[in-house]
Amino acid sequence: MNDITSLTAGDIVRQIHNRERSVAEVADAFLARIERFDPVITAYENVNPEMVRADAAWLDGRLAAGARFPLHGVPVGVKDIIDVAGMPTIAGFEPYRNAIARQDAAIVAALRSAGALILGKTHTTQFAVGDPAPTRNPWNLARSPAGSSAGSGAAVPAGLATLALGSQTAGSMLRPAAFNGSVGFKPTFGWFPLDGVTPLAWSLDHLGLYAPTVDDISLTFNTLTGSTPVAPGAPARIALLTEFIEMSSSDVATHIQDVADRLRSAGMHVDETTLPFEFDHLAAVHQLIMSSEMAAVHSANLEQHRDAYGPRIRAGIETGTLIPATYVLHAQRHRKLLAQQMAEFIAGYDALLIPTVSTEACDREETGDRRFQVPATLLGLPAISLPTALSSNGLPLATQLIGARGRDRELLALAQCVVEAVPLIGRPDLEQLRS
Amino acid sequence: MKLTGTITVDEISAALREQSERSYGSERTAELAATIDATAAAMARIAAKELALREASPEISSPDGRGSR
Repeated sequence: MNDITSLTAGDIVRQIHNRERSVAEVADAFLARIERFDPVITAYENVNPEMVRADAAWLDGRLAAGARFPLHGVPVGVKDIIDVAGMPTIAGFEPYRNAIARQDAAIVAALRSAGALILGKTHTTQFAVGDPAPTRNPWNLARSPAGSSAGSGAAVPAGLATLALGSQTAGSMLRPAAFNGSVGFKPTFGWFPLDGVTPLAWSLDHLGLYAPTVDDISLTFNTLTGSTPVAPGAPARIALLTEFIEMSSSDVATHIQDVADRLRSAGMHVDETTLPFEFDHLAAVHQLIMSSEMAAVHSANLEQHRDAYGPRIRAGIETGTLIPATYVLHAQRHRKLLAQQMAEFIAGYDALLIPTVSTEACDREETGDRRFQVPATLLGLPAISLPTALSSNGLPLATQLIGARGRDRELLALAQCVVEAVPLIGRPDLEQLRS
Repeated sequence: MKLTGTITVDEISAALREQSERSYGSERTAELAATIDATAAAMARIAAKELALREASPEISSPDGRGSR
């Protein structure tokens, strides 16, 4: 990997502010790497080199005029359900191939205001649900990059972007982070604006970030939300939820127990406990809310474009239309009770610790097990996935930390302490790709 | 369809299939069988946990989106 594409966002900003590199150099390095490796990884749906170079020249001009932006020149990939002005938002749906966005989504506009360099649109599963995207896992081309944020999740560890935007309605941010070996963060529900984003299920849709390090996530999150970082407090108290260990493969279970041991050795308190409610109940509540909202979003569009919909999303929409309103409202009442129980439970801890996914990356025909990412989604809690080991098959294994609602900065501060005790894996060597 | 704590997965599944046949036809309903059964299982699971009349309003029950209690 050449110099620039292996730098963190923080390093790129420092080097640009210090005039050690220009934004144009950064743009050229990433465009060259995309040209070389993206025909294999297929992270991008759409890259417009002329737009990237024009934006880079503008950012260099602003620097010359004395401007110093917090994300100056940091290259970003944008999941293709999020509008970027002048580019189509296809969302994996062929009838939208020429649907050019007139303006940036709010989150993209905020990134541009902070000096970020938008590289292009990354592949998603159709409408951010279950039909696999064409993206390949950069650790092993035969394995799944997960979904739905497949392109963004793969682009960062492959060095095809420094940061990337994804979304999560069930497990679509954190699972690609785990399978591809990126740091992935989903903030508290509502903290990242959804204007200009194709909806899937309104009350569950979240945007999130991929980055090579926790520091880069913190830098970007604090920039986008106008927050200041917090310092870690007293030794952390962490709840290791054992029902998730029992549902995991042996590789994953062994790794998370090892993470817990290393955190204890680092002085943190790790208690073995369980959720204050049945996990299957939470999963059922999520399933009914997501299916019914997805049906409400897509039902009319499905009637117009039946043949363009993938088989999994189509089945989900059709079944969602069958769920009576009484059951949806009953699920919403239970969601509120679950949120209250979780708030009381998590108040005793700084974070919950579980695997991000129950297994390593699966075969490409599937996008993986979403169950472990659903609690943070349904309850709107901040969650981060840290790639903390490689399996016996050489695939990433990931640790998930879940924080209390609204305590995103505290979760990120704890995540930084965790990676000091349990280092992140490096990036895959794309020269050695296996088929 | 009733929402009671005693309704079974089979009863819900049968009701969903009947509705599906009206909406999508019998051939498509057969193709949707696995998805319908998974949905019926989730519905039965939450129905089994009955809530008291004054317990938890859903967050969509008021104009400000916060629920009434």
